[in-house]
Amino acid sequence: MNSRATKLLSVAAVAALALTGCAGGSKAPQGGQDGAQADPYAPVIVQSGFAEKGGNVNVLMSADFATLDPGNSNYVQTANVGQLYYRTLTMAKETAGQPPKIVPDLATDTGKVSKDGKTWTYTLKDGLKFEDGTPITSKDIKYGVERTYARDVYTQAPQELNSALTDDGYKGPYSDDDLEAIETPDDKTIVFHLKQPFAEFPALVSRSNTAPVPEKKDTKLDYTNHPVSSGPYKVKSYDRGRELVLERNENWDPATDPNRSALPDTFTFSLSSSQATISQKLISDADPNAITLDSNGAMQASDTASLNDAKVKARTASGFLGCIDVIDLNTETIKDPDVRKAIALAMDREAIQVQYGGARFGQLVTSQLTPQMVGVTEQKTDLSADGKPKLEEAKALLEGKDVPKNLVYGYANSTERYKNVGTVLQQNLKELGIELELRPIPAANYYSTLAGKEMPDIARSGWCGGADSSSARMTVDPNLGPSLDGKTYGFSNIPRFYDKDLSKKMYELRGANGTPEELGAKWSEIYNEVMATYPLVPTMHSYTNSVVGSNIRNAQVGYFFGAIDLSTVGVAK
Amino acid sequence: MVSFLFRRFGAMLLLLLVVSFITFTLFHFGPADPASAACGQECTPDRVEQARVALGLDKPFFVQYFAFLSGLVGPRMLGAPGAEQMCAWPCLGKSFQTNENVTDMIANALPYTLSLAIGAVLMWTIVGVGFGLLAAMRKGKLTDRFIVGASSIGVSLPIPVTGLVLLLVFVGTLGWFPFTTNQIVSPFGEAGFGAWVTNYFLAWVALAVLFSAQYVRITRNNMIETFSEDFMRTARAKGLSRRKIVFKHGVRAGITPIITMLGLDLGALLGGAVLTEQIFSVPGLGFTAVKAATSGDLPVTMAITMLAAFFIIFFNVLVDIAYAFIDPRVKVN
Repeated sequence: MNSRATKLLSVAAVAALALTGCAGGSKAPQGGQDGAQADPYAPVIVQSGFAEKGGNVNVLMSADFATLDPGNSNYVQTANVGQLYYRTLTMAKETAGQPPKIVPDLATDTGKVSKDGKTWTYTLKDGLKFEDGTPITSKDIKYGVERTYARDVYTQAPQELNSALTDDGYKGPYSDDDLEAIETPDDKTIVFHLKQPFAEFPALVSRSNTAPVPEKKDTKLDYTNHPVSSGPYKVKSYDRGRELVLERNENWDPATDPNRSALPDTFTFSLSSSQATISQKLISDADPNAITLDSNGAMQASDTASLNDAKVKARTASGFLGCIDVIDLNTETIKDPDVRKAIALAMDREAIQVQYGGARFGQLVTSQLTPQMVGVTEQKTDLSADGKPKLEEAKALLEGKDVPKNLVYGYANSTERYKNVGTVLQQNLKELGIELELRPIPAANYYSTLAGKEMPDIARSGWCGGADSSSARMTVDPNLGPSLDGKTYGFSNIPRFYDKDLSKKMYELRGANGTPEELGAKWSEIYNEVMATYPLVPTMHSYTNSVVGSNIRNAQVGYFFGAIDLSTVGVAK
Repeated sequence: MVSFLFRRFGAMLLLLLVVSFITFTLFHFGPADPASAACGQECTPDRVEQARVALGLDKPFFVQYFAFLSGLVGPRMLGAPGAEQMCAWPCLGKSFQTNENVTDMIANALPYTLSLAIGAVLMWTIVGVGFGLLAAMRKGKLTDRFIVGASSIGVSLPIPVTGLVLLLVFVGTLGWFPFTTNQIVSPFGEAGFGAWVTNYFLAWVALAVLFSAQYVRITRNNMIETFSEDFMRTARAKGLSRRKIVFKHGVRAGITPIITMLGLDLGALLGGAVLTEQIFSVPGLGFTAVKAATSGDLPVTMAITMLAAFFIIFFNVLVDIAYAFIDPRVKVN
């Protein structure tokens, strides 16, 4: 076979791998700027320390933003681009490899809390203006929050902040009067009234709810076409589904904003490139000014070999995300904790890691609580650190037990690897004498199915830390905590874990006052107790690689965004 | 002729109505719930219900269906109380996912699909019919065997393989073509005709490799059959030139089935070349349809399904009409 034919066959083989999503090698990533660091999961920032202004960054995306409206957005992609055109009271400032730090943004500090922990007060900085030059007032921020209560209009309105405030029944500014939970005694001051103390409140006001919206310019659902800018950039043009161009907002004063370097003059978002095109474009450096916001840096499992190429590696930013995947065990159908533990121990988590593309795409974990979380205590588990199954131990646990003969694993039908995870589990459970049926679930309704009557016995889910990925509470409570009234399991508690004593402890801890360290330790201790009953099995802490063009500077993967942080990126001319 | 057209177009409208009803019914009673899809991962059951109201999905099935149909004959109001929006005629609704006007989405996507379809159809017709004719004229010889063999390979290569190989070789490795951009929509734009051709060329080739193979085989078989007809022998006996025999008498008689196939293929392609558009990043109807279908976006799925059905039915009618002109044996009845 001549070399040309060999080359073509190789290309075809790579293409076929890309199509089938076959896993590539499983080498762990090489951490550090020069690959010399011992920790294979250390974050890598591409060409840091760059400070020159000017140029254009091309952002390649496989789909348009669902919305640019800060009042109707629950998407990390929108939050990432949003920091370019809106500001919030506080900001979740990204540092590669770590949970974001909550820092003041529109406000002078991260908030002053009353002694009872139920009132938070913020004062706005001087010199804040919208893109049209009008001053930003506390009333604009309050109006922004009020809009997010209009849930019959904005289906994606973020609700974490709202659920902490006193005024639950408020219906939004279009069909109701005033939101009493927020006061604006003057143009510079905004006061929030909470149902109960909430130590992570500064993180809640970093969400897009508190982006100021001028009431007169609220075009409701059309606001997404041109949100009024309070940040360093404004919308120049937006051709839905094709291209978004952001240009400098001359009314943004950098003296009020130490968090955004705002280096490029413009950002051009291409909104309809296929993932295969994006990954090829980035790997081949066909566009030196390009980056992507697609998940996993738009890389396919078959791109693993390319990522090991020295030239590509030098252009690859990487780091942990806040996201941890788990296998949920339905505690209503698999009631015996020993049976759940046996299933957990029988799982080959190492093989599951391979289905994700190998070690490069995430680290095996035994807990959802990361060392980066504040106040976290030692995590106890019988799961193996290397992910290998403990079959003998699992079989011993089942002796004399009423073991279910058939179980169902549900997976989102759009993602091949989740089906493959099911195949791994199928083989593992067979060793315990359990037949596992794999049941596809429409991807668009995956999480609502898990929250509804059709919840299977076993399912995969992921959690990215909520508003504050440095807080143990923001992971433990939504995933394993009780409902708002404490009487049953919470709506996002996929394993449906509810234990009279432990759930009561969590319910009471929600309203507790204390320092983040103290509260973190308490949540972490409860997590240990809950996890002794194995309602879920932690599998992977996501690690993302994002290749950028050769002119791109200061490229870091955001822990929350899961993609290149747009607030600090620059481009060499 | 007028009565024929009247009947065919009447039947076309009726068929479109049936298609719209079936699509609406399938979507409505299918397993996917657009309200929870629009609401996202962290959505409580209460919020899913609020999303249902916001999208108008709380109303009875027939109320929703007739509201959809009313948008085809006049403007209609959409959205929750206090945030209603006028949707101008022809109103196909607003996207559940992005709130874009579906009519605008279709108008934006259609030129891309047209660009893809026009070039691809021209390419595969010229290549397919040309080589089919050549193979028929050289029946049994090496040229014939080579063309038939090559077409067998072409027809068995799926678009994802051809497309990705073309991209990797001619764009990624050799750099002869640029990566497709969504900024070039038509040959009359600022970028010019040359840039338009360059932008879509590989996508045309990918489609042409698949489709021309079928045209080669059909043209070859038809022409071989036609060449053995009595009138062809007569033409040869009359001493007509080979060119006249083949093109004036042979092709005209043998092309009818090819026109039929071309009409149907073009109609189907205008409804969106799903895989080709995905691979080559062409944001046409197929690209839009995939996104809509996977995210439970009923209005967009409805609109594209109906448009695709319209194209197929419309081109069927056109083919019927074209028969009368091409083949004198067929009369309009």
